[in-house]
Amino acid sequence: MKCKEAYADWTTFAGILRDALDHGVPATHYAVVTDALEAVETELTRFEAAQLTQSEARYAVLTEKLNESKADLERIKDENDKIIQGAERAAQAIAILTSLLPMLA
Amino acid sequence: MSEPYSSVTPPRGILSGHPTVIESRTARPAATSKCSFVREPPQTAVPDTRRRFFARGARSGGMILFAKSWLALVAIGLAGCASYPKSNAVAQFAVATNTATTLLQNASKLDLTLAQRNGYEVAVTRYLVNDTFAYPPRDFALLDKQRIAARIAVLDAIGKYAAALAAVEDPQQPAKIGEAVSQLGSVVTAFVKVSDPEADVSRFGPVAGIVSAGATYLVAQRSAIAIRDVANTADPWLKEAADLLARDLGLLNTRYRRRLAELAALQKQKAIYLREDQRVSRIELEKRYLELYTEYQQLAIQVATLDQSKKILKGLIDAHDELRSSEDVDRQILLFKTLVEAISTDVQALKKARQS
Repeated sequence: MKCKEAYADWTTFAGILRDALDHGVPATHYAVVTDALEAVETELTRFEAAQLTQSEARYAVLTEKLNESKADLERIKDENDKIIQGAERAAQAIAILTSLLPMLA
Repeated sequence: MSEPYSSVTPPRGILSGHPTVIESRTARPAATSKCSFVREPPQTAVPDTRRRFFARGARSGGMILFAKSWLALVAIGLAGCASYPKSNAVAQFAVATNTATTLLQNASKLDLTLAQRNGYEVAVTRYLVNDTFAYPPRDFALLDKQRIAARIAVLDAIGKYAAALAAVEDPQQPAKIGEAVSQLGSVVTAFVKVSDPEADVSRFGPVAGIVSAGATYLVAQRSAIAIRDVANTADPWLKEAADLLARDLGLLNTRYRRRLAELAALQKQKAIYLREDQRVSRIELEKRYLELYTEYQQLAIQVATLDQSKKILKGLIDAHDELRSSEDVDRQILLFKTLVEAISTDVQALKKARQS
């Protein structure tokens, strides 16, 4: 909750600085205002990165699980392909035997 | 050969108990041994073991029984029939996944673009107002690329899962299996003819046809059930990933809207300073204004696209739900019709062979 409040405060601060630029600041104050804006943005980025990091362990688990599902689907396809290949290979072997048989008889 | 053919065995639940059926059918040869087509094998040069094998298979009615066993298997298989998901539902899911991946990749680029543009505006305006000359301009704070990479990885996994679904759902595959089994039947017939020229092979073709039709149907059933199992297992993971991504993209959207508003304010401030300089003509100012506005509009469109993230991710989940619940009834009917036609034709051929 503290984090959320701090984030909201920094966001408000960024809004104030943006409004100042929007309305125009004297050239002599430009550096101060933009320095402050950059600093506020750095803080906000830190908060946002922290929030995004929280779910990354879960993303890793989900990525692994989905890769497993992909592998399962590939296995189903492989099994079907093996049935076709097995039948084709058996047909080839029998065809060769058929051609050799008259010579053996 | 044992491994591929073991794959034809239907999953538990569909053909449970089929060994009993086979046993009861295979117990019949003794009862049918008086059939007229059972003859003593002729004495030829063919070795004894081979002759015994074919004599049993081709002449004692074993093939008819084999065909009947297959019919029984298929009949039981029909009771638990399952259908493939609709092809267009699978394709729709793949499209939704690609859209979500593109969205996230654009979000990553947008972070860099806005950080660079804001940094540049500050640096160049400082230079214009006779403040410091910073070169190269310092970018605004960027999110670590790792933050986006973890999300791209999960979307990449979803994309590969979608591609695997599309590959395994190939409507031609059962037909290819049927063709391969049928071809096997033909070469076996040719082999028997060569090995024992007097063997009655008239029943081989029909039996091969029945086996081919049955194999096609059972493999299709087995694949359909397995595909649905995988899709049902993956569904909660997909939903969780989509929820997390929607939340994160919402956060990124807020960030980019803020950065875009800052860019507009920085650009406006620079334009005000330029206007104060009497040496800059009005035409030049208007040209600058148009350039700034064009750039702003382009970035605003990219940020607005992120607004669609929730809708796009919901579309992804809906597409997967549709895929899980859809049934390719047309394919199911076609498969069943082909099966019935093949079997009835081949059974007729078998009857004729038996009568002759």
